[in-house]
Amino acid sequence: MTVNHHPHDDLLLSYAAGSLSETWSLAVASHLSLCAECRRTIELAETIGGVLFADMPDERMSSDALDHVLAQIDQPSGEAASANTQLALDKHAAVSTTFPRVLCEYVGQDVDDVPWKSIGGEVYQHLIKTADKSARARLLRIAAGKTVPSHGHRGRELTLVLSGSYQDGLSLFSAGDMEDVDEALVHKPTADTATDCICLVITDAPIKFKEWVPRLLQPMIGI
Amino acid sequence: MLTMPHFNSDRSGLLHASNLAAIALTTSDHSDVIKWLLSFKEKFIVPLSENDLLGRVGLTQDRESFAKLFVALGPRVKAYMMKIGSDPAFSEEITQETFITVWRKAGQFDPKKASAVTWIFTIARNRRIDRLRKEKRPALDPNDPMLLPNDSPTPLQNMEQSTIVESVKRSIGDLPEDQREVVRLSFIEGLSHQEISDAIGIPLGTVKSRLRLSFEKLRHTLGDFQ
Repeated sequence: MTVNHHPHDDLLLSYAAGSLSETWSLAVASHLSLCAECRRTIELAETIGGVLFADMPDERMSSDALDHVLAQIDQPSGEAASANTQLALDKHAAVSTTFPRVLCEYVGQDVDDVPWKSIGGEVYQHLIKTADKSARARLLRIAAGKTVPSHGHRGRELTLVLSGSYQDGLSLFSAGDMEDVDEALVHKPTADTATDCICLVITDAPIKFKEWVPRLLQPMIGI
Repeated sequence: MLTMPHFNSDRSGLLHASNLAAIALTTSDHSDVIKWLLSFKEKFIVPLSENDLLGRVGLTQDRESFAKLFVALGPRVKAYMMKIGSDPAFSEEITQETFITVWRKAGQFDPKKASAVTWIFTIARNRRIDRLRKEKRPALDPNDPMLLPNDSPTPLQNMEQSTIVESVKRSIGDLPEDQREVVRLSFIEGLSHQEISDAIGIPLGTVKSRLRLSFEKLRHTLGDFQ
């Protein structure tokens, strides 16, 4: 898989810092599952964290801290037990051909089991529940050859292609690609004619999304 | 196969192996040789670096090296926890948990991919998220069968970690204060873009552009233009 489109560096940096909120982390982690180049970028960004961390002034530990830790590493490992459970889980985990594992926790493994809701024009969506109010996550399924009506953005929009592909003006976005657009862009993604295009889409705060829905519906209801 | 370490001559004229831990992990078949090299280095040449200590913990579950690592970096991890934990007792508890994880995962430390300090930073970061943040932080699952191997090595992959760390230090040092501040707020204080925007009173777009600019400079320093 050749990935040609990546999230902007600010997202990768914040992901490496551990300061990216849930919804955005879901998108970045899903992209990382498909993109070796960004995984290397994360390693580099973590080095920034290491350097800043090394530069911090120390906080004195209590005198018995070391003894406590040494006593605890002698205990039978709860974590090792859970690592074994994890291995067992890995062994039995049904492999999803479409969704990275981090995303399976939110949407299940099978595309056909997702409770898709039609939003018209053979475009379907599924809203993903997150506790994070700073952004909204959804899966989008655009039937082969269909188009999401032209829309602009009041905020940031991330689109990660999970299967199929879409054209957006001059660019082609295929599995693994992430389109990361800010306010200015107006676009009209069209799915490739061979297969449905399935994407993970993250948009800024829900209130901005409310304005996006009517835009989607406008051409279909003829206003 | 055991590749011989690269020996440098330092200013005092003594020899030292620059990356023993790296060799240690790539040549587990030769652990006796490695152990001997490490003890030789420690006794006669220089105190073990954090990389060597962590390499030893991973290779031989050496408690003495682990204790040295804890003494060296425990207070730093506690300071990092206190940035969002505030309570010293609780911060210390999470610091201890971090080091228990370091002990258990040390075998996974790969000195070609990260320095020991960076690796411990990532363990501390994950522990801080788990214990101090309310919401979930979805993370890459390194065992996901979807992960493809890195097929095309970049120039960066052939660089020594110590060289990368030096470049990163220099690059951070050269950043204008306003850019360095948002990077620091992000990594050390753990603030999101919106929280940084609120904390220092700059627009969200400015937070993003400062983060991007700072990273661009780092890529430039490393000569990694992809």
